[in-house]
Amino acid sequence: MVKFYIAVIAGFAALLTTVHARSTDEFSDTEKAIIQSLSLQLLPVKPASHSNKFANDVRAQQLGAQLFFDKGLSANNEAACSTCHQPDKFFTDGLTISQDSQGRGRNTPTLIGSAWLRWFYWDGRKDSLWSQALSPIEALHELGSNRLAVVRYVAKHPDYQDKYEEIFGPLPDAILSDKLPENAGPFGNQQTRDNWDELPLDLKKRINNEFANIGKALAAYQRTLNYEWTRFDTFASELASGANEYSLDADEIAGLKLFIDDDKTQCLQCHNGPLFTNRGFHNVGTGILQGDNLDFGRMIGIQAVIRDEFNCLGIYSNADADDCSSLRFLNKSLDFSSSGAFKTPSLRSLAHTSPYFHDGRFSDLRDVIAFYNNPPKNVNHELQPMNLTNQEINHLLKFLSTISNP
Amino acid sequence: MNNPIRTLTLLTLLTMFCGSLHAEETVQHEQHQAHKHEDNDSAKRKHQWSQVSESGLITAEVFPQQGKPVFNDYHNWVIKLSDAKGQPVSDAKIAIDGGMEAHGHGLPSKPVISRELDDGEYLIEGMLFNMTGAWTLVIDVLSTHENARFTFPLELSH
Ligand SMILES: [Cu+2]
Repeated sequence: MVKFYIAVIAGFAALLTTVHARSTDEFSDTEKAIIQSLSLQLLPVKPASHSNKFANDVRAQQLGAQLFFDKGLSANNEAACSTCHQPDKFFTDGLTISQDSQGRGRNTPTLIGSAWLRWFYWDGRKDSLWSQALSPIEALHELGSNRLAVVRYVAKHPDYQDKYEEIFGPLPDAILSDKLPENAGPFGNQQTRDNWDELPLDLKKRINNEFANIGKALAAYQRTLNYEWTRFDTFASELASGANEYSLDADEIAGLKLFIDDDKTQCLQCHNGPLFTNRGFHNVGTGILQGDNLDFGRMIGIQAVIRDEFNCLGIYSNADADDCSSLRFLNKSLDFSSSGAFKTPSLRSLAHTSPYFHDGRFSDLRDVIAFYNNPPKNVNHELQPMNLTNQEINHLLKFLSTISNP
Repeated sequence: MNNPIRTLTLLTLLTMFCGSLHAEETVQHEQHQAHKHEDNDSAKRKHQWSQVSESGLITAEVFPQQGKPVFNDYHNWVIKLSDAKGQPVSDAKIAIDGGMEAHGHGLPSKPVISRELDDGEYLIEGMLFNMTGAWTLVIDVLSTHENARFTFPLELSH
């Protein structure tokens, strides 16, 4: 009986601490709403990829996964998509910059969560995952191959041929013909380009179509790469359900409060929603608008995507024009909004995707925060100084660690 | 060792506690709902902006088609034009621009007027807001009445 009373007292004591922990003034209603808006629980269903009718085809996903890791797609058999997008590095390569398809040095972005994005590359010069996947194949410093060689590689590969034809239909004999040159494509060396120029237009279109299919398979696979549930997401659920204990400690919560406080930081302005990105382009003063190594970012991306033969409105797209919202409503202004602007990256899994920024200029997150705390002067950008103390910066870093898994 | 009595006691206490809490939450929830209903009506007014042109000849009214602006996704708005007598202004040519003055950037999309839904009522497609804060919507109207520019300040919050 004594034990029972002790248990009852213990129970009430537990209740009292519980009540204390649930103190309602811990988070305002606005804070609670913002925290929920960031949770993976609120991630919208994967957007349809109208321009890729094979986007959700399981067979295309499987073929795409094989192609993604296959170095046989490259000119020297030494590079695959996975060379720069390494699964154990959250589909990045850990390097400061890698040469992109236009010879510009840019940091390799992760592929996780890319199904939710509207634009691809730091400058958004591609409007779909499948059209993006085609560029590295023909880029000199990446896979360095060409569309004819790659289409024929897949078409004649003992493991791929049947799978490919089962998904995309029979390959035309004209493409398999021995009379064709080994290499042909609009990029690459002079011989490769000359060979391409000499092909009849209808054959070029047919090759482009099969090349696009390879991109669509690669995209189908990449669309399966989802973000993982993190400690922050657990915390958001706990907060929503009124749990007794939180998965975040006091410092992490202090960091979260800073992160969502528009008066103290402007983090949430661009890094909002469950992906911690507004998927847009912003000028944070990192473009190089004069001198060597020019990089105008989005300004170039706008012009490139309009001209891209593999864009949503092109003949290799499966979309109705009405479904090409990104292109239909593309703001083509070549001004401050685009000049030197780059795509907002997600903040999820930051711990695994160092270095940071489009040019990988910072390898330490502390330096990134320091940049935003005291943004460059005499350069045009959208930022305001944050004036955070060292302790506040520590809290912010601690919070950011809760949206990465160990 | 687990003491079953103690466990049961705690469970009972917790159940009681959660039960009362749940009831409390339900009441709060209902109040919140009722509050929301009110909000919805006033929301319709809240998310509707009206302006008379400088000369007073045209009134422009803009509002999101679904009643509220959508954050981070393309969505439709409607613009209604009427003349000084309250009659609809049809066949106008309309251009939409804007941005965030504080950040110095324009709209993240280029909205288009896709058609006239009804007399003097035009559908704006492709509106996109990807930041909270103060936005400006600049709407140029070319009509038989006059050519006018309307500047609507919009405040977007979470
Ligand atoms: Cu802004």
